[in-house]
Amino acid sequence: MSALLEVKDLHVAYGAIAALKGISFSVERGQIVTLIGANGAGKTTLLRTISGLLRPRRGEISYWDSDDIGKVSSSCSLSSLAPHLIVRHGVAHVPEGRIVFANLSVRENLQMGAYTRTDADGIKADWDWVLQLFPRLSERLKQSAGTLSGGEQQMLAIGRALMSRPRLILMDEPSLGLSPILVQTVFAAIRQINANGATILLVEQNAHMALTTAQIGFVMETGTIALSGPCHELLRSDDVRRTYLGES
Amino acid sequence: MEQFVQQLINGLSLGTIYALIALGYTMVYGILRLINFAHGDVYMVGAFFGYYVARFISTQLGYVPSMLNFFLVLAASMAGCAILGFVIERGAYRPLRRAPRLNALITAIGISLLLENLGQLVFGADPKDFPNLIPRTTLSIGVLTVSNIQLIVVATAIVLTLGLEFIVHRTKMGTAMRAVSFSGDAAGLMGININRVISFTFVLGSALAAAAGILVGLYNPKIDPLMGIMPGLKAFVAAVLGGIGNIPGAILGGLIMGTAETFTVGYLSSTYRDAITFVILVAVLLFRPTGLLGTPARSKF
Repeated sequence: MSALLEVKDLHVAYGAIAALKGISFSVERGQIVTLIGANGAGKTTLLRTISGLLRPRRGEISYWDSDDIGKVSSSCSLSSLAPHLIVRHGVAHVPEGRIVFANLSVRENLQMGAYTRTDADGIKADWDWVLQLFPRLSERLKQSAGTLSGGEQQMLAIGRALMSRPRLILMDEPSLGLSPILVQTVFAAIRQINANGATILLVEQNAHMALTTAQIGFVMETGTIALSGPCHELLRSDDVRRTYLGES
Repeated sequence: MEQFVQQLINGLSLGTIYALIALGYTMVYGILRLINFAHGDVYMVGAFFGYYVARFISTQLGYVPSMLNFFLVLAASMAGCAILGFVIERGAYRPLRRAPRLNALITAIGISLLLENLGQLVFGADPKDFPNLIPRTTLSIGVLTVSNIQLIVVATAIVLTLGLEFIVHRTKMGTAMRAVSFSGDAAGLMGININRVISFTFVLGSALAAAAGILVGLYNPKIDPLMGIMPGLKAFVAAVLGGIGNIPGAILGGLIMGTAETFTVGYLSSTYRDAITFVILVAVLLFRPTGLLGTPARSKF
């Protein structure tokens, strides 16, 4: 196992208000890693900083680029790159609230996902794979994305991210606002995407789903990491059970 | 009845010019949520580029008025203004990308004043006669008269609009423009270089404004450095009337503004030529603030 992403002493603030107060953690290649925590703990801020939408005050985000056969080529710092350059390193972000382009068709949304790519054959292969993963989307290719249901929009947001053939996918609350059956569908897709080789950093409010899907978990509290460990251990921890799983 | 149809023809050909300018306002607004008040002055510069290029090719190259002349002048002026639009965005608006939106708006007004005064300094404040690019002929259909200039104006505007439609809906860059107009953040996460899309939008809008400047030079051959103020305002109102940020809306708004103006002049008095613009603006803001084709909140194009 080798590290794909390493965050060191990350500080992010909105004006005078500190949102992240020295976060350090790393994500190993091939894993599903989850970040759980209450509203306002800084989970979304952390993902937005990794993908370049926010600039850190302090700290370092290192990423180990690799070629398709997994040979590590170089380590680079993401903390000073613009979002559109970070995508080119193989990091995709499925943002909170999905933010599919409602004024574009489903087809165009997926095409935008592959915006940085020029390998027509590879794009075609990923296109087929995304539509196989989410058959619902293939029935709706011509429809404008704004007319999709919440679950379909989430599938589109994930599919769009996959179209860049990412090595690391940041997912922000993919279960938000979905019915229990759709939550199952989305998490099944997440496992399948991971089995297909992508590493996943998953932010979730649904702590139970997250901890049973991921291998490693981090619990965030007000801008810091309070607890971390393998998910099966976190699931047994009294703190986690009381606070995040609603058990007494 | 003849007068009505005649005014309609005149109004629609004037309206296509407003529509071309309005497209630039609406595209920039769609992407940046900025009213680029310097846009009317870009149109003025376009007319002057055309003036100098036309003089050059007739005196230096000895071309006589013809369609070729017109195309050369149109292409040169569109290219010149495309560069101007690029430079304005790069130099004036990009440094303010993270500043409050009001700062960019004030800067736009500043750029507008700069272009107007620089125009007076460089081109001279006196009106100039726009050279005759195409031999004028008039076609009579019954009691109606249509000049070949009107036909060329309308045909050029239609071709340019179709070209824009193609770019926005059929190319990767156009799709990226629509994506950025919906959400800059999400577009960035797709790997879209937002700054490049914004530059491209200014280039497109400014080239269309230059085309409007040339067409107006054909139509009404007096140009001066302050000529952009009133058409700029009217095109802005046209964009608001159609629903700002909405491309078909800008075209519809431009056509309505043009016909409203010629009907006012024809049936009421030419004194109210400009007043009608602001009557329409006030009416839109009172009764349909989102414009005719605009939707509340955030759908663009």
